[in-house]
Amino acid sequence: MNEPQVAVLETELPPHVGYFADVWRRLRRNKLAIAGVILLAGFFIMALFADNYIFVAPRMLFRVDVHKVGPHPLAFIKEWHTLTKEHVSPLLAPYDPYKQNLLLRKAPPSKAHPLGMDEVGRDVLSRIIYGSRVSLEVGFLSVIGAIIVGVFIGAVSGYAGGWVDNVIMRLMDILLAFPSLLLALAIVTILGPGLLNMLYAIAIVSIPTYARLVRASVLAEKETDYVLAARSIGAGHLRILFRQIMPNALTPIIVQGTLGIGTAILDAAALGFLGLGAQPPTPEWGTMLSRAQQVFFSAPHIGIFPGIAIMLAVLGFNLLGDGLRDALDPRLRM
Amino acid sequence: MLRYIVQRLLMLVPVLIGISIITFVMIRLIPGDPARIMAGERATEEQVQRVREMWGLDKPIHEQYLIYMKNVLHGNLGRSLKRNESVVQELRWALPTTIELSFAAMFFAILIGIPAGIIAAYRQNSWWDLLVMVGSMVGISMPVFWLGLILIYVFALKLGIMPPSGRLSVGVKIKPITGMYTVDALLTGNWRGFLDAVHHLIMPAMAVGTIPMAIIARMTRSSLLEVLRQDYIRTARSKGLSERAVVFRHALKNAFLPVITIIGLQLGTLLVGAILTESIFALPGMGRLIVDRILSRDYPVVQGAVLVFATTFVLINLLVDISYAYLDPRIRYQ
Repeated sequence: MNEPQVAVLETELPPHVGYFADVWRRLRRNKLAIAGVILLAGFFIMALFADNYIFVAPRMLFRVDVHKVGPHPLAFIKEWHTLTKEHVSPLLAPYDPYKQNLLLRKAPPSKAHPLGMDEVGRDVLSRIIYGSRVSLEVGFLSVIGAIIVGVFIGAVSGYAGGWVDNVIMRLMDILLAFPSLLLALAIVTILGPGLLNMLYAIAIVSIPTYARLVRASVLAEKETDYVLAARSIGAGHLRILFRQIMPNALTPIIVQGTLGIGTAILDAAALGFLGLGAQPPTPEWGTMLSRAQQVFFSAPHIGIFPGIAIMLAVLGFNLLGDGLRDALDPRLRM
Repeated sequence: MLRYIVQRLLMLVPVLIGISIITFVMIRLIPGDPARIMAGERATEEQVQRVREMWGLDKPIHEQYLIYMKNVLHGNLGRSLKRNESVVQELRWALPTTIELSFAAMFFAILIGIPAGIIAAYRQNSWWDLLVMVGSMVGISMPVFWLGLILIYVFALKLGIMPPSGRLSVGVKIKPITGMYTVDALLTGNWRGFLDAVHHLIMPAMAVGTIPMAIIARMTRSSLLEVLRQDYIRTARSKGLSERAVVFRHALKNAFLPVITIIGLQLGTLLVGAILTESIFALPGMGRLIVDRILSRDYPVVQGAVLVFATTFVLINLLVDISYAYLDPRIRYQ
């Protein structure tokens, strides 16, 4: 009597899959999330292959004249970088994003220049393709930075508890009391405009979100039996925190981080648009729009296409983030 | 209820102090002599000295903070460098402009967002549903300033049915009382002025309101779907009520609380949206003021505007919280 039941049980047991394989398995069923993945894949390819940098750089590694640059590693890297820059040529981008053709200023889309030329005669398509680099870099770096700091703050706060927790969380409340872009503006005021300063500002602004997420996970887990078990066999605080507790915070961080990259790209574009982020002639989407504003009515294509690029990239992260949330954390489903 | 309000007011104190510290520190973190920064690059040695005395910049930092707070509480935020007037005077007309725009945007967001969400839930998995869901996703991903430019291009330039910028047409006068033109026009019974002010508000409100609209639509949909799964809805259906009666009489009321919560949470989005759109529509509000003065290094105005902006945000949030407690008694006992 019992045997068939056992057999049924065995076949029903799912094969063991790792965390990310499991995520992918669930995500695959969500059409919108897949649309997001495809969009993002497009932007990653654009960023990676805008020019042949990743093919040239390894070759140039061997061409650096060691006798010339001396023993200092930084000098080596600098020389390597300049050498690579000299030999790089556009790959996916049809033209050099900095090269101006003054005769074709504000030229509308044509066969040679599918998205037209900008206000000083640069190819808009090429600039958008190169711009994906800036946006993805800012998005990823600021979010990774914010996660690292936020995880640390949140973990300490939740694990320590008591007055430490109280002080840290009140500080986070104050940061959250500012609308995010206003705080970013205040930080840019202090640091001055520029791509790197903008990156810091965007990262700092999003720290409290991650700190709170992590703190909540830590608080939920730290009284559980398995943590007690770990403590009873003599595990130290750091080991308990990072080996036992933190894996539970992974899911909300991944979801929030994905959505956060979209927000960061949007904020970066906003600061660029206001003239406080990446400075011209950097091909950054928001900065491109800022320039386009003055000529928008005589040559709308200069502004329309960078805006579409921002929208699609942010849409990609939002679709993926939403899909991840649905797949990973049904409680947060919206 | 009174106890809850007092409690919330007490919680406000540390946040307000935090905001004041951030704005206080902001000026002192900018590289250079704070007195020189506050007095402006072209100030004479005497003027710099006067500023130094007024803000106690030669005293220890904690005394400086107390002097700063004393000045702020007396309504002295310093003098604008760009215009020969006090910072308070500059903010006096900028703040109502931004608040008016935010309210108009919220009105637009609710007007479209809630019906869209209801339709999507009412006809779940239909084309309408898909349209609302995809549309709201796109809306969330759109750069606000870009949307503003597109609106001006289409409705003002191509169709000519909307004014491209400003708050009033040439020749229309409104006696300023509060600084919110629509309110002032109504107060003085100036119907022509009212209609003109509303006409000028429509496009900025659409641009700023799009993201909140998308979020409200999604929240309405998911909240309504959640309620429609409840037992009492099944009871209502089983006793033969029409689907319309079930949705509108039984489900909607209970579905609204999360929607109201999310509406309150959108205040930050609105204020940030205002920062980004005011420049495009040439509206003399807080956002435009802050951005303009960061670029022209008019730091006293930036400092004052950030302080007032953040304080306004916190106070409005407080009002929202108190009104929830009024609407949902459960909140008071948490």
